[in-house]
Amino acid sequence: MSAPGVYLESPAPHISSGDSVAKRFWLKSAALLPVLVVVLGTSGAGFLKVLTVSVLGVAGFEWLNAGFFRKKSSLQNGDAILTGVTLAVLLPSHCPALLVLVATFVAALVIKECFGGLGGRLFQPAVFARVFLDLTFAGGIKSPELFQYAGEPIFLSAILLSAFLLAIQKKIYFETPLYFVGAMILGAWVTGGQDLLRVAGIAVFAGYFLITDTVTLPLTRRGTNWFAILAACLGVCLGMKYSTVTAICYAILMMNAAVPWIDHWVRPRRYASNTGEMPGSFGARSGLGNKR
Amino acid sequence: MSYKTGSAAVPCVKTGDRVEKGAKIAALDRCEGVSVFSGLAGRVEGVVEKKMPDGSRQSCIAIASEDDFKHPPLRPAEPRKGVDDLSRAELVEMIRNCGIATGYDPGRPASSGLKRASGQALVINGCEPEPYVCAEQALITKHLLEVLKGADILRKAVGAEKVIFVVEDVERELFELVKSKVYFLKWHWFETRSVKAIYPAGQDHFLPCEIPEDSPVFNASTAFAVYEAVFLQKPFFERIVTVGGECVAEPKNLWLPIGTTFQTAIQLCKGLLREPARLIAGGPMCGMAQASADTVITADTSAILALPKEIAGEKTPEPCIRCNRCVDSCPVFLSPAMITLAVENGEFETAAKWGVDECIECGVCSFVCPSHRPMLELIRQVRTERSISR
Repeated sequence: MSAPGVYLESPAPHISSGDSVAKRFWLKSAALLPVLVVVLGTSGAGFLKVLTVSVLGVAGFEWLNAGFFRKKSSLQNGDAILTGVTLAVLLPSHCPALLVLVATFVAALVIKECFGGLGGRLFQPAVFARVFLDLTFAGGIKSPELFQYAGEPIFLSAILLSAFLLAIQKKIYFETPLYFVGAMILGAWVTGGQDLLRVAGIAVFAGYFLITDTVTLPLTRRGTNWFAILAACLGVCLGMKYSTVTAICYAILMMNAAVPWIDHWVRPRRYASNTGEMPGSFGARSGLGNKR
Repeated sequence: MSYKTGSAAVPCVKTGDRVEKGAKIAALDRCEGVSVFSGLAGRVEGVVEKKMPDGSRQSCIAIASEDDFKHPPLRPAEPRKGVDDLSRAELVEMIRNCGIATGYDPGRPASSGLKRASGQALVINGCEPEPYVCAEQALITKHLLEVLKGADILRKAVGAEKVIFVVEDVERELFELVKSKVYFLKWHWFETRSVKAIYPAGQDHFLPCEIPEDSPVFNASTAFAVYEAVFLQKPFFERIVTVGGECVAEPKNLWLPIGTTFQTAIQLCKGLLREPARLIAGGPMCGMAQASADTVITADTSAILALPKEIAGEKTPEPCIRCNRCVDSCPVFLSPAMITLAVENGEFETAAKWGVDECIECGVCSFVCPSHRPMLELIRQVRTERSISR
């Protein structure tokens, strides 16, 4: 075959690393499977109802929003499903379907779409929706089963397995959740009066699945680690007054609000800003090593 | 007929003239320009407008080929003697007269770089600038002595004391080859260094190793062209080009005359196996996608790549999810996400505060971006706007 055709003209680069937004969100949702199975096994139909309403609610509101504003639906990128699943895990299995629907409305439309959709949100939508329900229906929202029994072997094993599945995807900094978990356990040990195993289980889940929503994190590795440490410290302080789930959710939202400041103060140190300094990571995560 | 100097050479042949391979067809007009030499034997058809790989249209002298590209590159019988006695000015003039337009600043005459260059050491960049491209290494492997001799001439022309020859660490055989050759030549002023084979090492002289300040950097292909110009008195009219990509039937490195169309180059590799999604002049990271195969090879075309849909297909950009991959991968430690978000909002001053002027435009940020955002395009856009407003 000769070369007669008309080809695509596009800006460089013409190849990509193969990573995609959809892959990230779907894989993160898949990593949550062990936790879902255990909660489903212990809570039964109640959790199944919450999970179904939550996932369908978030997806439905996003779909309605896309239809109303004549935008291309973004359901296939998996963000709606991930938000729905995370929200379901943060709610108790006896939560009324209507409340779950309200939470999905807040997560999908108020927090995500009103701020410009994916990439525009300021707060972790599932966490914000949980806090919204907490504030609005204070009597009706209790700690979710996962958080209540996080210290029990089966729950702890499921959380650790889910965390491991997420960690091996290498889509998050490996040390960020560890900072969070370490600071949480240390804080709980210092303040005393808590079941450390339970705190550890909750911290692992929150460290891997709640604070690692990239859209609401700082833009540098150092900044992200500071985010995790400060969120854990806030969580410990608030935990002395509120339940652990509420404290962690508040801490994450407060740190989400502080992200612009972190981004302002913690910036990458530019190449050759110090004489003689060589680039340490030099494209290390670009995947372009050994070019051939 | 013009390289990036902006001054076009004046044609010195007319329609119907028969020209030999290597004959001067356009003479330099101003001191910054270079002469143009015919890359093939044939009959002059006139001056035509042709599309260049960078998208611009330039005047070219069309020659109807009587050559089938199968002749080996022109080689005179006897190399020039007494090269060691030539002065720096004579060497620079010789390089300029031969129209060498690769190297120091790709696409600009090498002689203009030599005039500006100063420094204790001269660096020969033997690294491949981009994935897929292997023309430089093929040249060094096949013509190492010539490259080394050319590098030594460049050292004299620059007035440097030593030459640092940089090779990628994955090319261990090549590294040892260069080292042993230098050892046998007893050229103690040559130093061989290996650098990490990670993009963008080698691109635009961005080398991840310590080199003395203000050291001029030239490619191995420039050193080879200089060797041919000084020793063999051969003008610059052809270059080694990687013709590759998954769609090319027989990918190879070819010596091609400047002005050859991409179509001819691909046909010399037995054509295409299937229709490519993109035809690229240069590497896949910084090269320019071409609309058709009628584009011609210029002095800075290192590769012609025909990439299929699954590798270079169109991707729909999505919003930034602030995953930090661009920040972590940036070789000059910028924050491409912040810069491009600022550009999207029209805040060019904010982009400048985040260091857009220090960007080396390697394209790594766009490569790693899971949202497939056109980050390099946005960065180029703001840099163009800023250079215009200055």
